[in-house]
Amino acid sequence: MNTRDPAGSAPATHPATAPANAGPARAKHATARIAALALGAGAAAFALVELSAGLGPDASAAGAALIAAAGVAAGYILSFRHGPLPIEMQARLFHVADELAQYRAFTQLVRDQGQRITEITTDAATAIVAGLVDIDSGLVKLAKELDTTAPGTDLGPAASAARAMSEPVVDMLGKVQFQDITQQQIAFIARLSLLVDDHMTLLASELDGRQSFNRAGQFQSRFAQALDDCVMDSQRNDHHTAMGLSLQEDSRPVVELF
Amino acid sequence: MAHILVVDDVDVVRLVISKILKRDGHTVMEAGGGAAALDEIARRIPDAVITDLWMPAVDGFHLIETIKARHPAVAIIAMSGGSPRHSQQDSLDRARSAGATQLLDKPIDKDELVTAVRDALGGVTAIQGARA
Repeated sequence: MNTRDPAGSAPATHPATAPANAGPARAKHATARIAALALGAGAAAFALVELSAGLGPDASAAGAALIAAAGVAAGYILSFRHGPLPIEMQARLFHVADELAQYRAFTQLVRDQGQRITEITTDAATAIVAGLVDIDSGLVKLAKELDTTAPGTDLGPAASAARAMSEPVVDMLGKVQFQDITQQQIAFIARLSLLVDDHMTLLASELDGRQSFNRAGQFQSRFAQALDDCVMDSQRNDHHTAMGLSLQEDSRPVVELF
Repeated sequence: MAHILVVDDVDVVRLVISKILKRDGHTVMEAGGGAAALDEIARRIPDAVITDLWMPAVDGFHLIETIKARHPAVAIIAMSGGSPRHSQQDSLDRARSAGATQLLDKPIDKDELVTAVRDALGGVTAIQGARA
């Protein structure tokens, strides 16, 4: 399975699948904390001994030792605040990053489907309009020929009928403009989805570009089930392309909606 | 009847408008964008131009301003259904400022189109109110 984050963010690792050098790195950090703690404790003990002996010539040394101890303690606390997060918290962040990646894939899928609808309806509407124009032209031409070739004969009503038949054709032509309106509405939806996409990119960056290797999220599984049950192959391929997945499919029967 | 140039990047809309105008007796030319429209005008100056506002490259606003600068006598009818970024009314207001004398909402209504063209060609300069 391709685990590339559509956000294109810098790769990070899931705690469950961290690289081999992650353990030594954590051990090194822990050793540094212990060393800092020991140094701080030693300095503080020295200061207390000096203080208990009275504030004499060694007072300045005691003060320096206290300051050193305070500094080491502060460094130790800060190392907890800005150092590696606890494993549980990391797992949650990776889970959120994973969901964000899946939602971004979803918005891409929505845009792809919108584009497909636009293309299909454009082709259909253009063909319908061309056909209606031909029908109208043919009816008008027929009416004129009936007028000129058989004026005052029994064919007069036929000419009138031909003209009457062409009238609703023009009204139908006007209705085909629905395609233009639909296209604009789809473009609006696509723009909104891009806004959502941008926000999710921002959220992903807040997570320091984490990228999970575990993509078995609830959203993804539901989406995959819906696709397997009732979509066209082309739609499924759009989804897989958006997810960055392989287009290889199994041969299970599916229900085609269209 | 008149020589009318229809400008829209959507084929369906162009075909529909052209058909309605031809049935009303006009000679119609079509252009799929602002640049193509200016080429058509360079070949033959129309009596009226019916143009969409939101088109790629040279949009309807620029087209209207250019036509008005070069050929002030040409009647301009602007039409818009809005855009993802701009409301329909904002678009039509801008078109009016650019020099359009008639305004039409999309989707185009056959009777309103015919009336707008007749008014424009008849020298009616009052702005037609767009459908609310």
